[in-house]
Amino acid sequence: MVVLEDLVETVEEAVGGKTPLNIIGGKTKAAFANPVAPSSDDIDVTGFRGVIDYAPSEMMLRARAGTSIEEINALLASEGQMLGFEPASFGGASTLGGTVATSWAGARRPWGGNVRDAVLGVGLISVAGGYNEFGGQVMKNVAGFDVARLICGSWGALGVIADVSLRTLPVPEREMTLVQPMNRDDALSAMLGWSNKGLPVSGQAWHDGCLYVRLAGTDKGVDAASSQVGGDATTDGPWQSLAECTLFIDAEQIWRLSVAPASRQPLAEAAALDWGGARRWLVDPPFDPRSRYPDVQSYLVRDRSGRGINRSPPLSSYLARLHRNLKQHFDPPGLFNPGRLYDDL
Amino acid sequence: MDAEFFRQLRVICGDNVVTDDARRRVFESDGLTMKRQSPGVVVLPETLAELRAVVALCHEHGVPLVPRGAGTGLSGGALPLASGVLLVMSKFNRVLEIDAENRLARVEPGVTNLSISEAVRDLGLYYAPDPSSQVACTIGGNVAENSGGVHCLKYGLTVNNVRQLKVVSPEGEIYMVGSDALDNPGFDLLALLHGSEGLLGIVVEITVALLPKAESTRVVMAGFDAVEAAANCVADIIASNILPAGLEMMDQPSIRAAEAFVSAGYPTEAAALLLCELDGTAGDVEAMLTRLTACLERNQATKIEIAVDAGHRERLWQGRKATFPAVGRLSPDYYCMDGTIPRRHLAAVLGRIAELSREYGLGVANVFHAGDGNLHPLILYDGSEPEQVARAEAFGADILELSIEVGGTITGEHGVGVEKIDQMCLQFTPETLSVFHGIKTAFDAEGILNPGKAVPTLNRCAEFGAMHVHRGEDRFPHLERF
Repeated sequence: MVVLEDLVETVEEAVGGKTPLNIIGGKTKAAFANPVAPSSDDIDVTGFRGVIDYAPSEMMLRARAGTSIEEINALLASEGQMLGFEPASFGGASTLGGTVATSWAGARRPWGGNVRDAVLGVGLISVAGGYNEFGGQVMKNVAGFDVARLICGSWGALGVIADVSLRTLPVPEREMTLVQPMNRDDALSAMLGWSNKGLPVSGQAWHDGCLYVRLAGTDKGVDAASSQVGGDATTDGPWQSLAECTLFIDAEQIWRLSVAPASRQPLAEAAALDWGGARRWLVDPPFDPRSRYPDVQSYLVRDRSGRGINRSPPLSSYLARLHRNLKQHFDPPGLFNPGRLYDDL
Repeated sequence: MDAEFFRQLRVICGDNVVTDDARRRVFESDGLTMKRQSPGVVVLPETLAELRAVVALCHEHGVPLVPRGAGTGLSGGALPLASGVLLVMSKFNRVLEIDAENRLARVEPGVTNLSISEAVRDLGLYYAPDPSSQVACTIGGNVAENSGGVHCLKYGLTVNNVRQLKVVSPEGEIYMVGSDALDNPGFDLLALLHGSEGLLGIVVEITVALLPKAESTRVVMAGFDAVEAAANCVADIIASNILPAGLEMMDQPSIRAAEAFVSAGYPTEAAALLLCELDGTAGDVEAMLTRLTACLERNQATKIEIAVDAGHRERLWQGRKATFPAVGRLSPDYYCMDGTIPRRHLAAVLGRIAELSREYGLGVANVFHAGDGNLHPLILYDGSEPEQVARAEAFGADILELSIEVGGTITGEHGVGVEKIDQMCLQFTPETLSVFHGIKTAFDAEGILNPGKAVPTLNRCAEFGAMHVHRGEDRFPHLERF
C-alpha cells in the first residue's frame, strides 16, 4: 500500500536529482497523447488507492488518485448514484487520477457536464509546494483561485494528482438506447432538434449509417420521449467504444474534432459523430485536419504514422505564454510529464 | 497618477473620465456598503480600443485598476483604490450574437444577467445561473465572482455555463479562452478565470451556454416544526436521488419577515420552511413529485403545498426572493454571510449561529441554498452605530470560521473581495496561498489588476495570525510580526 508520504518523497527525490517524472495511472490513455521524454523515471500512482469519503446524501465522493474508475462506479451504483461525465473504465484499468488529468469524459458529457464540472477539490503534489489541497468537498466554493479545475486536462504537467473530490448525480431510473438508419446530415439535424427541445437525452451518436439516441429519466419520461425519437431499442450503442476509442480498430490515424454541435466543418468526412454533434471523428483522413479546419480543435488520438505530430491542437501565442508562466510556477525545473502536452511544457 | 496620466486618460476617453469629488463618490462602494473608498479616478470606456488603451496606460504608469460591473457584489471586490483607476464596464452592454442552433449567446460584460434570458425567451431558451440580484448584476461581474443562484444544484454556477471569454491582459493584449466547442486543449484557464475577482484579466466578451426551457416545472412548499426535521428532509430528498432544480430553506425569522412583506402564504408558525422546484419533461416531473411528496411526509412536514399554476408558483418563490429586502425592514442594516458547509452539519451550525446571535446581542435571519449547502445568515445591525458595525463584523467572522471548522468554505458564491480576506488565512495554508500568488504573477506580474483583493499576502496573514491564534496553533511561525 502506497501512502501519500511515499509519493511526496518520490517527487522530492526527483527534484533533488533533477530527474523528470513520467506520471503513471492505469496507462489506458497514454497512447492518446505525446510520449513523455524518455529520460524520465516512472512515478506509479496506482498503489495510492481507496475511497476516502463517500456521502450519498451530500452527493460527494472523495478518493485517492489510484482508485479505479470501475471501483468508484460500482460503489456509486450501489447507492443509485453516478458521475455525470460518464468516465470510461477501459476494462477496469482506468484510474480516477488519470481520468481527471486527461479530462476524459464519456458519452453523457454534453448533458451531464465535463470532468471539471464534477470536480470539487483536488490534492496536488507540485514541485513548488509539496502536497496541497485545492477546492474542497462542498458544491459551491469560490475562495481562492480554482486550481482544482485548472489541472483538469493538464496531463500531469502541473503536478501529481493525489486525491480528488467529486460531486455525484442520481442514476436515472431508466436508460434506453434507440437506433435507426439515417444519413449523416439528417442525423445531425435530428440530434440538434431533440437537444434543443429539451428531450431527456444522455447520448447521441451517428456511426455507420445509423443514428443512436440514448434516453434517460423516469419510466414515464423515457416512454414519452422514445415515441418522439422513434427507432428500435438496442443494447448495443457505441457509447463505450467511442469513449475508449475502440471503434476503429485498423485505423492508422484517429482524429477527434471538438466543434460547435451545428457546425458543418467537418461533416461529410466524419466517420462518426457523437456528443450530440459536438465531436467529430476522422479516420485516416487524406488531408491534415488542422490545415483544412484551422479554427477547429483537432486532437490526434491515434497516430501510427510515426510522424511525431503533436497530439493536442496548438495554443494561441498568448495562451501558450500563460501555460509556460503557470508551468514555471508549479514546476520550475520542468520535471512533470515533460513533452506530454506540448514540447515546451 | 500625475497630471500627464490624467491628460492621456482624457485623450483616450474624453468626457468618460470622472474626476470631480461628487461624481466619484457615487462609486465609493459596491454591495458591501460597510467598506467605502472614493476612487482616484473613474473611467467608463465605450469601445474595446479605448479600454485597451486605458489598460496599457495604467500598465505603463504602474497605476492599479479596479474593474467594476454593476456594483452589486457583496464582498467588496469592486471597492475602489484612492490612488487607482476604477474601470466601469457599464458601457459594454450589447448582446452581440444569439446562436439558437448551438444554444449560445455572445454578450458584452455589462449586459445584465436577466436580460440574457429575456433576449432568448422567444426561442424557448434561457441562461440558467440566476443570482438574486439578476435584474441588476452584470454577466461580467458574474464571471468575476463565479456567481450562483437558486438553481445551482442542478444547473451549476457561472463556470459551468460559460463557454468562451475574450480577455484583455494587464498589458492591454487581447486573447480568447475556451471556444464554441466542448473540449479545449491545455490547462483549464476558462475555469481559472471564473471567480478570479478581476485579479487575472479584464473580461470583455462572454459566450454563455443556453438551455431549453423545461417542459414542466412544479414548486412545492413544506413547513416543519423543527429546523432539524427540515435539514434531515433535505438529506433524505438528495439520498432519494431526486435532483431538484432548486431546494431552499428559510428559518422562522426569515419566514415571518418574508410573509409580512409579500404575503406569500408561508406558515408563520413553522420553525423552518423548504421550497423545492422540480423541472424536466412532464413525465419526469410527475414521477419525481410523487417521490418528493412521500419524502416530505415521512420527514414530518407539517404543511405541504403544491403550486397549482404558474401564478401560485410565482407567489411561493416571491417570498424567498423578497427575504433580503423583507429582513431589511426589520433592521436599519443587515450583513449577508455566504459560508458553504457539508449539509450533515446544518442543524449544528444553525444552532451555533443562534448562540452567537445571543452572545453578540444581534438578531439573525437565515436563508439557505439547502441543496448545495450554501448558507446566507443575515446579521441585523445599525450601521449608524460604529460599535454595532464592529460587533456585526466580529459575529460574521465567527460564522466564517465555523464554516471552515465543519469542513466547508468561507464563501460559496459572493467571493472573498476585501470582506473575507483575513479568513483566507484560516482556510488556506501559507503554501497554498503561495500557489495563488504564483498564479497571479503568471497573469499579472506587475500586480496592477485589483490589487489587495481575494488573496491575502503572507505578511497580512502573519499580522492577522498575531491577533488571532486559532486553537493555540500559530500558522505562520516563520514570518516576522509587526
